[in-house]
This record gives sequence, C-alpha cells and structure tokens, in this order.
Amino acid sequence: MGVSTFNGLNIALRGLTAQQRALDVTSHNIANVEAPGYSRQEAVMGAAPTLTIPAGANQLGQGAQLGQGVDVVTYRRLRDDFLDLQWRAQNMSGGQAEVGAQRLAQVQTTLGSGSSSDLGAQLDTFWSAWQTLSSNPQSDAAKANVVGTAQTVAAGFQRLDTDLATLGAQATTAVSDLLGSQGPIRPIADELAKLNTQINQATAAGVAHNDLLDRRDLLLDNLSRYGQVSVTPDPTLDGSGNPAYPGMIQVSFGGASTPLVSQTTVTMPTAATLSATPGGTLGGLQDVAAKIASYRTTLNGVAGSVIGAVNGLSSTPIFSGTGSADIAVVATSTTVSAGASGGPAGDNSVATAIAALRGGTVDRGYAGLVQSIGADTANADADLDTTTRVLGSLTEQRQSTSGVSMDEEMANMVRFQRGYQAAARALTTMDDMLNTLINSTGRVGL
Amino acid sequence: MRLTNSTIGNRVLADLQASYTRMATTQEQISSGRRVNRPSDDPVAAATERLRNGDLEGIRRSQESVNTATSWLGASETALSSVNDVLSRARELAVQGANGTNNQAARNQIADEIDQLVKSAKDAVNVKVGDAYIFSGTRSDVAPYADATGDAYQGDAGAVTREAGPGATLQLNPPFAAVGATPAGSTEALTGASLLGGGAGAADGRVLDVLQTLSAHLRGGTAADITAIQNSDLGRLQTVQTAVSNARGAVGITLNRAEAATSRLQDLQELTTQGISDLTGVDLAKALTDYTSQQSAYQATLKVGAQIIQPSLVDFLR
Repeated sequence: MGVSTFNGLNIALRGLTAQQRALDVTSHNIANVEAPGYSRQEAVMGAAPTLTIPAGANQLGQGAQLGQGVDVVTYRRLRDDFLDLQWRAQNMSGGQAEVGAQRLAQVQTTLGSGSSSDLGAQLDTFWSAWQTLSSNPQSDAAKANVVGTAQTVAAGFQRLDTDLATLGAQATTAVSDLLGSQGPIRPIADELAKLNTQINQATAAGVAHNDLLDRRDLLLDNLSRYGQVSVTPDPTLDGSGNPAYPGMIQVSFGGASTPLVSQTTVTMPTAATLSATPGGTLGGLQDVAAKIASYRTTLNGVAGSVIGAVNGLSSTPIFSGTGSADIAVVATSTTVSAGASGGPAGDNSVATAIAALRGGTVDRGYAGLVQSIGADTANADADLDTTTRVLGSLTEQRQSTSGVSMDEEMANMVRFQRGYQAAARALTTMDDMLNTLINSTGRVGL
Repeated sequence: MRLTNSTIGNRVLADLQASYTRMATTQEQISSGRRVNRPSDDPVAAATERLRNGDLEGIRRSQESVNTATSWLGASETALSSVNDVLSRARELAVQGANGTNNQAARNQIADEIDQLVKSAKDAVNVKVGDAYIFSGTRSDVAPYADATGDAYQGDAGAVTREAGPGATLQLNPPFAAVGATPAGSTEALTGASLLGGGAGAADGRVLDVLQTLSAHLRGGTAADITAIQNSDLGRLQTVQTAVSNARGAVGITLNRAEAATSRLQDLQELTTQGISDLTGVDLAKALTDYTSQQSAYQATLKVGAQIIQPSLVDFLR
C-alpha cells in the first residue's frame, strides 16, 4: 500500500485546524481574563498517529513511520490542586478572623470607652459621690447624688450586660442563619450536587469540561470561607473496583460527620452536628459567642463585687440583686447614711470606707474586662491582617499558574496566527504541485 | 514567578489599601490627639488608663475635701480667737474685780459683763460651716450649746476626719491638751466640751466653769470671794487661756497639713495627668512626620499603579 497523493493536503488541513483550535482557546482565555475562578487553558498539540508504511512498498521505507501532522490532544486546564488546598485552608482562617474582628469591634464599641456611657467612668463618679458625702456627711444633696450615681452604675451594668447578650445571641443566630435554607451555603451545596451529575456525565462521555471544573473549584473556594471543607472523590466503586461515578466528589463541611454533598444528595449540617471547631465564618461566630459569654461572666463578677463590697460596708443596703443582670438600687436619699446605722450625723466612716473602694477589686475587674476585650479584638485584627496577607500571596501563586496573562495570550495569538499562515502556505504549495501534476503533466505536443 | 495582569492589579490595589489604612490610622491619632482610641489599639494602656482616670477623679475629689477641711479649720481658728478675746477681757475684769476698793454694785456690774462673756464664748463655738456645727464632734447636726439645755454640751467627743488624698487624713477637730484631760497630759479632740466644758456645775476647770465661778465670786463679794478671785480664779483663767492657745496651735498645725496636702495633691494630679498622656497620648511631631511620609508613599503608589496597569502587548500589536 502506497501513500496517497493527497496525504500532504490532509496534513496541512490538520495543521490549519489545530492552529485554529489553539486560537479559539486563546480567545477563550482572553474573554475570561476577569472571570472569577477561571483557570487559563491551553490546547496541547501532539503529533497525529503516524502512518506505518508496510514492508516492501519501498525498500528504504520498510517499517517507516510517516508523520500525519498535528492533533489537539487535549485542552489542558492549568491549575495546582495543592495550592487550592492551601488557599482554601487560608481562606477558612480568613473567614474566622474576619468575623472575629468585625464582631469583637462591635463588642468593643459597647464598652463606650471615653464616653459618658463608659461603665468605668460611671463607677468613678459613683466612688466620687461617696467621697463627696464623706466630706459632707450631713448633706442631703450628697446623699441624693450617691443614689443617683448608684442608679447610673446599676443601669450601666444592665445595659452592658444586655448589649453583650444581644451581640452573643446575634452571633448564635448568624450561625443558624448561615446553615439555614435561606443561607449562602445551601445554594452552593445544591450547585455542587448538580455539577456532580454534569461532570460525571461529561467525564463518562469524554467531553471537555474544564469550565465545569472551574465552576466547581470556585464554589469550593467560596464554601471554604464559611467553614472547613474537605473534598474526596466519590468512594462508590463498580463491580470491577473502578470508581462507579468518575468525576463526582464528596464534600465534607464544618467537620460534620455526614458529607454536605455526596453524589447528588445535599445534607445541611446544623449547629449541633458541626464539629467543635468548624473553622471559617461559622467557627469565628462560635468563638465570638464563647468570648462574649466569658465577658458576661467577668462583668457579672464585677457587678457581684460592687454589690457585695458596697452593701457590706453600708449601714443600709444600696444595691439589690446578685450580678450584672439584676443589679438595682434599693437605697433612697433618706436611707443612705455616711456613717454607721444610728450613729451621729457627722459620722463619715461608711462613706470614707466606700470611697476607698476606688481602684480596688471592682475597678481592676472592670479594667481587666476592658483589657481582655481590647486584647481579643487586637488579636483578631492581627489574625485578619496575617490571613489576608497570606491569602493574597497564595492568590498570587495561584494566579501565577492559572491566571490569564494578556501579554502571553497576545504572543500566543501571534504564534498561532503564524502557524496557521504557514500551514496555509504548505497547502498552497501542495496545491501548486498538484496543479502541475494534473494540469501540465502529459501535455507534450498538445 | 509568572505574573499576570490581575496579579499586578490586585497587588497595586492591596498596596493602596494598606497605604490608605495606615494614613487613616495616623490621621485619627493626629485629630484625636490620642494614640489609643479604642482598647484594641493598646489593651494594656487602655486598662491602665481606665484605672489612672479613676485615680485622677479621686485626686480631684480629695482636693475638694481638703478645701472643705481648710474652710472648717479657718472657722475653728476664728472661733478660738474669739474665745481667747473673751478670756483676755475676763482677765482684765477679774483683775478689776479683785481690787478690794470696788463696792458691790461695781462688782455686780463686772459680773454682768462676765455673764455676757459666757454667752459670747458659747456663741463663738456654736459656729457652723455649711450645715455642720464644727464644735459638736461627730454630732455635727446639733449646736454644742443651746439655750434650752443651758451649759450641757450637746455634741459628742468623736473625731471628725476628712481624707486628704491617698492614705492621708486630716482631723478637723484636732486633739489638744485640754484642761483636766485624764490621764494628765493626754489630749482630747477639740469640741465644745473639751474647750468650754459643762459649766460651774461640772466643776471641770474649763472656760465656762472658770468664768461662772468668777462671776459667782464677784456677786458674792465676801472677803473669801475676793481672796478666791485673787488666789484661784486668775490662775484658772491663765490655765484655760493656755488650753485655748494649745487648741489654736493644734488647729494651726492641721491647717499647715491641709496646705501641704493641697500642694501634694496638685503635684499628684499633674503627675497622673502626665502619666495618662504619656500612656495614651500621641507624639504629635512623630505622627505628623509619619503622616507626611505615608502621604508621599500613597501618592507614589497611585502614580506607579496608574502607569503599570495601562500598557500590555495589546497596545503594541497591529
């Protein structure tokens, strides 16, 4: 069997087609330069299967392989799976730090430091009222001032406690909102389940599905902001031990034992089924809720020590209640006394003793609360800063693999254009040859 | 590393953002004059400032307390001076009355004046500062002597103390060597009782007793009475005058301590204010310098960003 006369035309055609496909891919890359989650693609060209020239056809060509031009072997998606894992882990930490920084900043605002709603300043005023009473033990105005400032302090404790409780409840609600049917996780999970089917079908049919994979990776990227994501291939095997559903993935989320997406099934976790450290926004919210609970315990302790210390020294109780939630003032300006019960009018022993509580356990307790809220907020800010930087650098690394570079695409465009022109030139040459053969051969004497 | 358009775009954006954030922070520090604008800026400094603010508030109140104490001590000083005048006058009258050439009518007239002096002495110690009687001990709501209760002292012997700054107190009725204080040589808090005593009936040798005894001797007019004036009453007047002088000394010393406390509290206030400012205030010179360099860095980033983003191979292909 010889080689067809038109073989060369075929090779040139393959060249034209391959360069055209490569230009298509370049065009696709340029079109998607700003598409989030897009991975740059390239048409991988490879030599087409060669034509084996049979023995005897040509003594020199025995067993020779005649090249048949080029084929686009595959459309490759340039992506580094390992960077994806790192990026998602960092994105998760970023989500956790971000929510911590935002919510703790709100907690910090409730302290009202530097304003008249600052409980610390209200305590200062309360001690001052006693100090004034100790200078003027008979003064009704000073006694009324003690009662007034005590009411401010009690209201201050209650306000701060309520504010903290509200912020804590908001954090807890936000967790269930995120996980709820209207939350942002549900549609991601639903789309992942849908993509499982599409990618499975495409894989089975051998159809290119790079853009579906990009979409899936983008969804997983987005999901990782909310909590810990781990992805494994679908474990189901067919009779011969191969994956029964090639291309499908199983997505575990937030440390819940049931996967979020398994084949086409979506199982939303609840606050109860999440692990203790779900990571991401969810983990951040849980951390914030736990921190707020501990602030409230501290505040409650400070309120308890105000009640205990002041009532312990005063001849008649000033406060009722046991903590920051129920502290109230029972004293009136007629029951407040600067001295011991039934003592002389000028006795200022009680007022002096209570005024001396300034700077003691109560104030230090409150300052400690300010310090721990400040430190937690500062840490969350620093965490956010760090994770943002690391995430930025990982994004750059990912971009360095997957990002579309205009210069590169332009250069490729020129390359493929030239390739196309050259293949066309080969075709023309071939055509010219055939023209000579068909139209000019054997016309001697005509 | 392979750089793409979006990488450079993101970098420029991130750098601009970071640069702008730094500028905003410095700007806030300059406009508020504070380095610590919220606890998270410096948690330890914020907590310490909270306590120092409390200290400062306490110092201000202590200053008020010392001011009250000073006016109280001033009023005591005036009252003691009046009592001293009373005693000086009584001494002149006693010398006059001891003269045997006086007839009874003249001695009665002297006795009348002595009786008036007794009233003056009581009036002097019935003085009030604000709503408080300062010679009634801690029973400062009642006058030391009332018309209805005659010579009976109505207050108590309690010490009236006022705080005068951290760990310092002032006794507004300072202890002094009162006449007949027991045990001998001990002191009593300055009250109506320790100064004027309970009158002749109490026979305590204090101002009222001495004056009333003198008046009785003048009205009695017998040779024994005249002798008693000469031998005993003049001496007893001398003793109470010494006691009043002791009391004035004690008040004077306390006033000095109050003045010392005032200047100490002022120093303390300045120190604490300075401490708070060092802790949370902004170093304006440094902040302004920082701001200027941040501003030029920001402008440079903007300029470079604008130039870097524009050109690509697209611009050069035809």
